[in-house]
Amino acid sequence: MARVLLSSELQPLAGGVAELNLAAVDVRELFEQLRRHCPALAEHVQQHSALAIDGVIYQRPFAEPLAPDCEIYFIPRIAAG
Amino acid sequence: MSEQSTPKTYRSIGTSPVRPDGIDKVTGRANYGADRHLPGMLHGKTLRSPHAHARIRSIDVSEAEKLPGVMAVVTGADFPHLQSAMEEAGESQIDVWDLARNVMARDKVLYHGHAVAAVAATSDAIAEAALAKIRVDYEVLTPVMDIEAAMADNAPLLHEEMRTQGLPAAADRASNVATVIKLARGDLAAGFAAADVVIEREFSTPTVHQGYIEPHAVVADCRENGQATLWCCTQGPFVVRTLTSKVLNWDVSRIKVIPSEIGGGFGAKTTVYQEPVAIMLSLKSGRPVKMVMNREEVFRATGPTSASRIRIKLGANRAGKIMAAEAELKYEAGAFKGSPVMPGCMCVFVSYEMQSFSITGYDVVVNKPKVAAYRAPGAPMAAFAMESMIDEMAHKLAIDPIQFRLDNAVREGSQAVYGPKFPAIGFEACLKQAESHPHYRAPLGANQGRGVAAGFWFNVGMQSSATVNVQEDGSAIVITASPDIGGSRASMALMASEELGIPYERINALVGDTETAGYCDVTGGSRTTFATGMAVIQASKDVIRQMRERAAKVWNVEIDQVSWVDGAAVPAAEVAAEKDLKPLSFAELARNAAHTGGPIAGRASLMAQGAGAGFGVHLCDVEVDPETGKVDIIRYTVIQDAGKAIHPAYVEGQLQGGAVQGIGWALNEEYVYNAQGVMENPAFLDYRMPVALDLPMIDAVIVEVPNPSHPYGVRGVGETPIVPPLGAVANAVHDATQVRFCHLPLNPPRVLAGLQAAGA
Repeated sequence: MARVLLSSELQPLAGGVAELNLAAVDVRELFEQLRRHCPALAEHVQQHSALAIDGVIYQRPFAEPLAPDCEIYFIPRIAAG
Repeated sequence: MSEQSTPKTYRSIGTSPVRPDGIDKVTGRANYGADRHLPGMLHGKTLRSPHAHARIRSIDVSEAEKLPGVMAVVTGADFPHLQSAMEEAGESQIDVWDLARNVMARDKVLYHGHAVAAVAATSDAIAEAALAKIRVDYEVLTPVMDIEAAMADNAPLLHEEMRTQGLPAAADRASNVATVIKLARGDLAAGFAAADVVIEREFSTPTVHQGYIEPHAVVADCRENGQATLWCCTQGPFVVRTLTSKVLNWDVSRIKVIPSEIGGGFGAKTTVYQEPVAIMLSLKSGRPVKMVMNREEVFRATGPTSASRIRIKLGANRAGKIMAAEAELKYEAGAFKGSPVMPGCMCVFVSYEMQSFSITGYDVVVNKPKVAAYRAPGAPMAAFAMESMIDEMAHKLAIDPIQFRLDNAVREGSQAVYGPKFPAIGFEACLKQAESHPHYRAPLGANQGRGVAAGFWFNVGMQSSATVNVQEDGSAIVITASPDIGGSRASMALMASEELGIPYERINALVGDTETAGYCDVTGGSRTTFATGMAVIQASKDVIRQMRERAAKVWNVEIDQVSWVDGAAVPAAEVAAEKDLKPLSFAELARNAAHTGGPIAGRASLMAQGAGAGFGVHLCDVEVDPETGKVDIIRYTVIQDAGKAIHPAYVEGQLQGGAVQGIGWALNEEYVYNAQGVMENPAFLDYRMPVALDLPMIDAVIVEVPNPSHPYGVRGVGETPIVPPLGAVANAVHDATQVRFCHLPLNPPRVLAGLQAAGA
């Protein structure tokens, strides 16, 4: 199960929970599940967020594989300077 | 100098050859934005608002249009009406309504210098005369020039329809606060209760400009078939194409963007100002149009970075562990929403382990130019505040400032305040380098002081493409669409050389345009060596695969019986012996390509992921004149983790350049506005940036903790070095004077007033 850990800012979009455990083998499946269970969160993060999988940041994730028990955070996309 | 080395040894990367574009640049042969001339070209000029805040009642261009030599006049009415919508724009999202109105005002002007109309004429003088004949009827409004004024009850509104986003409930009235951000973790009250020492201070930083040497310049040429070509100085031709097409509501395929050489950008040349206007003037006149800003226009009408107000409360125990921290960051966005307050919030506590914290950010619009990116957008102001607090806390606890940082530093596995756990990072290594550097123990004289500060930037990856064309003489051409700002031609050539196994001098690295090169996001975000470099590496590997195939054909063996070693196809031992085969060099395979299947070209396009975070630590010595308040930098050392330095001399240049810009921010730079919201110092004579005579040689120490997500371990290096200087200088001034300065710049009047107030 992928552990999705939500910041205080994102928790209201997921019904107030701080953590979601989702059975997903890749990012595509992760987003499918998010769209099913937390559509508001899914819409927000797909528009605005990068993804950190076990600390490695994916600016625009698509179908990256997810290891069992991986840790996932959504973080704001960082622009360039 | 390189203090640590990655275990792998390399032939090309890690060396510092002469840059291929260097001679053209120092002899004046290089073509910058303003150097483009086309037959029949017209001169474009912009009429700018004389008011910081006003409603446009009407614009009359009829007299200007009658002037002989005037070929076209445009106003906001000539541009399409766009709805507010967040659109993908290369590397980030942008509200096209805001962008279009920043390019050319419609119903309101929102800062002094806001573009109101533009003219194309047969000469500069005629264009200037025509501007004087345009009549604009303004209803002048009260300007809102700082955060306090913008957030005050009953403040004049810049945008009557803007509602604050990010509140727990939908805002019921308009506001100058575009967004509120909250980040929090742990039990803040319990954390402060467990602290033995709690300090709280407020800081402020002024509006500052990137100060690039080359003003914005563009030539637009629209043809009868509806196609437009732009020549311009930009950090990203593809982002210019995207943004210009949004403002004009055109398909991107109608616009070709050819980037010129670029005389500095530092983030600010990742957006558009004159480009859509020049196209519109060219379209109307049927002739090419050139528009070149002067320095005053650059200051008044292009994006500086935010002024800020930051309050921090910090608690630590006697053992030197941070127990809790609270921050409130308010950043000016300029005339339209979108300050870098989010990265400011993400960076303010990022260097330290935090169990309990609360961060609140405010994105505030004011009647100043819309801010643009500037090296590590939002981070330097946040680090100034936090690194000043760290310094003060270390002194209160009687702990060495570097030791205090080491005791609280994030390491691999630490949870960043913005969420994820850090992979391998080099902060601890940088702190230890600083601690052991001779600078840190060197004696100081009278009125001298030493400051330390740390800094962080995320770095990014994003989209890049590269093509490697093999030539029949055994050389190769590398083409990308990443404009070369900091020496990227050299770093691209070094990486291709490393992969292909041919000398650096045999590789010609070029910057292509939007129709001849594959898509690249901007040169910015410290991404080019990392991401475009990764594309060059992959394109080079594609060439190697094709060369192994050719050798296999020549030898009539399977490709997996051919390896690539030191720039040559080498047969496996068994077939080499059986068939008496000798290795085929890159040059031999290139020369015979026409006989073995045709030209060889490698290509790669990618979304680079896993950019490695960059940490740095700066040491600064100052001498403060107690009679005048003047601060001189007498010694400065930058220590930064580069992951792997591809071209160490250019990495050092990035570290030195970032430090210099940060020192200018700390000591002198600021937009000075009068009561009407007019900037009073829009020239380098009065907007005081440091020059070489102001500073000592800046020592650069490259630490190399490899980024595991890059083949060579590269991390971006361009942005982190501007983050620590503000705090390092302020901490050094405190060390010299025992006065804590919380408001920048530390120019002589401010320092002298601080000394006098303290009785020093």
